Amino acid sequence: MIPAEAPQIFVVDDDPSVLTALKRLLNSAGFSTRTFLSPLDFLSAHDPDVPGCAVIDVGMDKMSGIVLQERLMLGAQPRPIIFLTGCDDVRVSVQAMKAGALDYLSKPVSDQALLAAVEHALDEDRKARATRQEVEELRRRHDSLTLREREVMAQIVRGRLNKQIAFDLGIVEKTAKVHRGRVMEKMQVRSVAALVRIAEKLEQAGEK
Amino acid sequence: MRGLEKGSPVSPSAKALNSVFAHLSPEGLTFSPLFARAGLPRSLIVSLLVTAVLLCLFALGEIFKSEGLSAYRDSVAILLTGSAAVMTLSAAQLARLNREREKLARQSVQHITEAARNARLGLWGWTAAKDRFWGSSAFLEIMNLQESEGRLEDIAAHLHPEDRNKFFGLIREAAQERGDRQYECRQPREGGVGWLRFNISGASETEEGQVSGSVMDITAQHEAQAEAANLRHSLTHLTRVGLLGQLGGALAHELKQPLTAILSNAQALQRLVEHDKLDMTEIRAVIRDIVQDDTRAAAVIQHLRSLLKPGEFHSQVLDLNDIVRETLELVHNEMITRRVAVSCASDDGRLPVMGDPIQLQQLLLNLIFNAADAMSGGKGGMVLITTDQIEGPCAHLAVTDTGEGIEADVMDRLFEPFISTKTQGVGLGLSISRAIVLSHKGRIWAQNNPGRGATFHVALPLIQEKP
Repeated sequence: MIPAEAPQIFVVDDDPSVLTALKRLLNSAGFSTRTFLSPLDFLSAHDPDVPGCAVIDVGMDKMSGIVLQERLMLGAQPRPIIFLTGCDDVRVSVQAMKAGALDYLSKPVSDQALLAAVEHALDEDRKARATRQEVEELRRRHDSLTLREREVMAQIVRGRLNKQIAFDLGIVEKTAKVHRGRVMEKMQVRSVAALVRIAEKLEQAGEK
Repeated sequence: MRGLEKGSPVSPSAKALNSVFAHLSPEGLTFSPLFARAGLPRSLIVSLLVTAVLLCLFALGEIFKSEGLSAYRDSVAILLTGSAAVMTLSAAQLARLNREREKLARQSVQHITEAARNARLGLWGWTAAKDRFWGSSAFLEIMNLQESEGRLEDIAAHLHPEDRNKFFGLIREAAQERGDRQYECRQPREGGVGWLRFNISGASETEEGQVSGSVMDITAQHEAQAEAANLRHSLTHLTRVGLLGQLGGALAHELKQPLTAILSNAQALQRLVEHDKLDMTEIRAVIRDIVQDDTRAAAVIQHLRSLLKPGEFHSQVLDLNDIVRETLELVHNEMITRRVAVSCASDDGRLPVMGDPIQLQQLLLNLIFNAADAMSGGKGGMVLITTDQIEGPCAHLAVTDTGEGIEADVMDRLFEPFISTKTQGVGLGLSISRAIVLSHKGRIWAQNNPGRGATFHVALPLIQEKP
């Protein structure tokens, strides 16, 4: 596995002095920070593979924070977003939270609130990335199965015995047993229960 | 306000009175040439009487000289005596007629004086050659004078010191040149100041150096005008405060930006100090930024205060383009929230006008909010603000929206108060806008666009800037 990159905090605000101050604060807490004066700059430089979260001002000139959020959420790897707002407009905050913003903080924001929100967001990002990685690994394993083995796996997770599987697929019981062994080996599990959990995860991820 | 000279014409009735009184002397009742001319000349009466007496004497001489009465002498004497008698009678009759005429004239003067007194119109006259000033009883009352006659100086002494020179100037000018003048000036009074309006009629062709006129106490009128101006001012201020209410969120944002920067900078500094990560260059930069943002926050508050303050009309030279820029910064966030895209197309050059920056900003805010409200269907829209130079020369401002446009039945009354098509509007915005434009000697008008929406135009006179 590739060693995880250090998480980055992407700060987007069209006010240069606010941007600099936020960067200083986050740096002082030991975070690695990248700043963007315009949402468009941020979007064009954005690499979803870099772990981290975004701190975005809602009321920006050329593109509102909400629109930026919509663009970010379009990707396969959504980035956790913390919104900062200068005006307490309930409509906007509801819209933002509905669209999946992690936090919605009022300006001026205290260091405690901001740092806690950032920690939380990084945590979420880490978890989400771990989940995505795990699912990817499981999918890779699943992809290594032959068509027949996938059919057998589908039967196993439904609790079917070798005899029943053999009957259903029109093969002899011994062959079914060999397939079962291969499935357990390729999916790297020892018990049927573990295989069932993997099947569930894959199914959930597939739905997403 | 200083005493000011009005360009408005003197009312015809006052003018007529002035001309009548131009020929009156201070007592009002001893007569000057007008009435002498209107009656019969005294010399005629006197010469008639003298002739009659001479005839009588001659007739008597003829009678006593003769030794006996001859028919011829008799008839001559009788003829002469008869003529003398007729002449004496005519002279008596003429004298009576004259007295009656004088009496009539005296009465009409009395009537006019009485009428003027009732109208609280003081009448006065001034003879330049003798520096003799006189006034009617109403004049004395208004001017708070005891003596009905005096010199020009004595009269002027009862006016506000700052208005005296102008008063002198106008009266002396009137003694040289014909024509009517009007002057409003102040009069010191107990517990304040009164206002007087002088109508001054210049010398006529025949009577050079003769000035006459009337005076009225217009203090109450002045106070009413001041009161109306005050009310209008309060209303303008109140609607501005209302506008700020609409802008509330955006203004809060303006203030929160520097506050956010200050707080984050300060807390970053705090952390650096706590963790002994002291880098002097960095610390200096942080402190410099804190100071800068503090100044910025103060400027926002100052701006807000000036908008909230019911300040006096404060005219100064300003660039209309600056006003547009500043106002757009103010509405920026509010318009984003309303999904209204505001764009601006203006000349790069300056559009210098004379005006009150706060009021002009209020005018523009009114027009922008009006445009945004016209597109309040939730779908948003576009507002275009353009400035350029038009004939006049005037600075021209146009606010175009893509809203519903103005309905025909409202168009004519658009700038009248309490005309509103909005569900929540009071209908004062545009009437206040018009009041602001008029006080800047400008014009405001509206028209529907060929396509969608409407455009509001404002034209303000351009001024020449000193290089």
